[in-house]
Amino acid sequence: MKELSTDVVKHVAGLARLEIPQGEEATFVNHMNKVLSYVELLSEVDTKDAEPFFSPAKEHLEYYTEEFATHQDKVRPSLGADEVLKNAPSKQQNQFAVEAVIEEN
Amino acid sequence: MNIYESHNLLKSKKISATELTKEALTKAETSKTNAIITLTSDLALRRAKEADKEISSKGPKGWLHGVPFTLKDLFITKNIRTTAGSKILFNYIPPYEGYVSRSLSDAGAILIGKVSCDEFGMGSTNENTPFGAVKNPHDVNHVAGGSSGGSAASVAEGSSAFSMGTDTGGSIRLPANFCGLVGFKPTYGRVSRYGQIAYGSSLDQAGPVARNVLDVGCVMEAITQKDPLDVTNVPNKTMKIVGALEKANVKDLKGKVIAYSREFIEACDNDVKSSLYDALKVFESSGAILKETSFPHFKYSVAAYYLIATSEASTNLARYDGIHFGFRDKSMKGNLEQTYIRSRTEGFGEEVRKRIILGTFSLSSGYQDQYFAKACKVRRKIYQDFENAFLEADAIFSPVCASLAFKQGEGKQDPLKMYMNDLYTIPVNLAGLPGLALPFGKHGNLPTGFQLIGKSFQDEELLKLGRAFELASKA
Repeated sequence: MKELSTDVVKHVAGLARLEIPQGEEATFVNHMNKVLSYVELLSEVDTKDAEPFFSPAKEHLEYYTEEFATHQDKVRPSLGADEVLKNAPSKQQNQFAVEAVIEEN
Repeated sequence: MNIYESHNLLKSKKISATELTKEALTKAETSKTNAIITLTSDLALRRAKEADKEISSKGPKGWLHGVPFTLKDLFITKNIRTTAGSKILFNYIPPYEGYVSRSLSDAGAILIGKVSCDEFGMGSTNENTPFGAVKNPHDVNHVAGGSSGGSAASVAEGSSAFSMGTDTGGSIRLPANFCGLVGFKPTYGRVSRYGQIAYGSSLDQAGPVARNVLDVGCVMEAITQKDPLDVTNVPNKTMKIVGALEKANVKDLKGKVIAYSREFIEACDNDVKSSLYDALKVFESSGAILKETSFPHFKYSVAAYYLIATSEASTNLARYDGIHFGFRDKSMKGNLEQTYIRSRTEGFGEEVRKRIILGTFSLSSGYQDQYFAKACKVRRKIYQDFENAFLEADAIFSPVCASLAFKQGEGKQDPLKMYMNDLYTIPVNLAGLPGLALPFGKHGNLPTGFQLIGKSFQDEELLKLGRAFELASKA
């Protein structure tokens, strides 16, 4: 496949809410292209009849009981607000504090 | 200090949990490996005192009662800092308890500390972490291996009798191999992942690093209770294995069919290769039947793995937003979007960012079929290679890594080459099978060993085979 450009890599990084720091662009783009060119190897494999394998759990349903797989709709104790907020970098009045998303006129 | 012997000494009151704990803490405090991120001395001494009280009145309640251990810092521990080896969780103190920590604490084991790992489990050297590289206790110029390097180093240096690691593509087995220990990745689903910080959810599995197979059995009995908080955890499969391991015998190897690929062994460095052939000779002379087998799709496993693992990582690591917990960049006043971006860019290390971006690309619209979906189909082919081999074999013998423990810093130069080191461990995670790394021999200061792979959910059979090999290799 065609090599990815710096702009495409930056765009994908943006989708993941990441920025490629200035000066590191070349390293990142080069790495991405190296890995993508390596994984081209997979195109050799004839997978026409292969069902995608997503999780080992799905291959061994005999070990899972219905009762276990379907959670009962039962109320369990959960963490209190104090505990949930304990690690918040910023909080106000028992809530997570974030930067403003609505601008004032 | 191993678990089984410590247990017997505790039982016969020849040693106390406090003595064992003090000894482990001294080793940890004078350690040259940088294995430990957070030492929990006060808690350990308090728990040891409680254990001594209980043991003196009723005897030990199980194999692990009063036995010191460490936890990879990817396991959530209530009220004890849990960093995942990352700046983004540098000050994170979990408000809840994970399954592994709870079950080991219920078993009476004594937590000595939280140990280092590659950030979020991403790496095979334990150098990818702002907490500094972990060194190999056998030779500090070499790495301990990763990502559970702190686990392996802490056991090898004696600051714990065992440690819990996690294995997504070899992260328990590789450091165990580099540090001369036994590392066990159970079948996917045997150990609950509740409270195990996620990397690749269809691949991640927790397991012990210990001094011998008997000790691995002692730990497995404590961590295989059913846990409804992980829906992929298999119910009603609590392990009962120590009794069988105690009875294990060299004769158990007689008639067992061990499949292996000569091609894989030949691809290893000479020092590793000779040890692998010597191990095969031990199997053969004990009456096992060696069977050359080919695994035609294993050469695709690294490529499939790096698409699948990074795709899963890109979704799992989306939760680190700088808002709910963890590091927040506070320079972008009044801009929420930039706060997310800066916090994540500053908080994650380079390798983690690379993997998130690759995974995001692999899942992005227009590329998903070509990358993620294709990798999952190749994963099926790899699984079928195992199924075919197991039609005629009881276990598969393979290298853990083609080389001895790398030199410090060696991996920084070519990341793709570093990924290739996981070639022999990755197929096991892709298929969800149990894999057991066993130490065997040394080259200079550095340990060598191999891996045995078992059938799905036949972890017990695999451990028995491993124990029989241990006995045979000493005979």
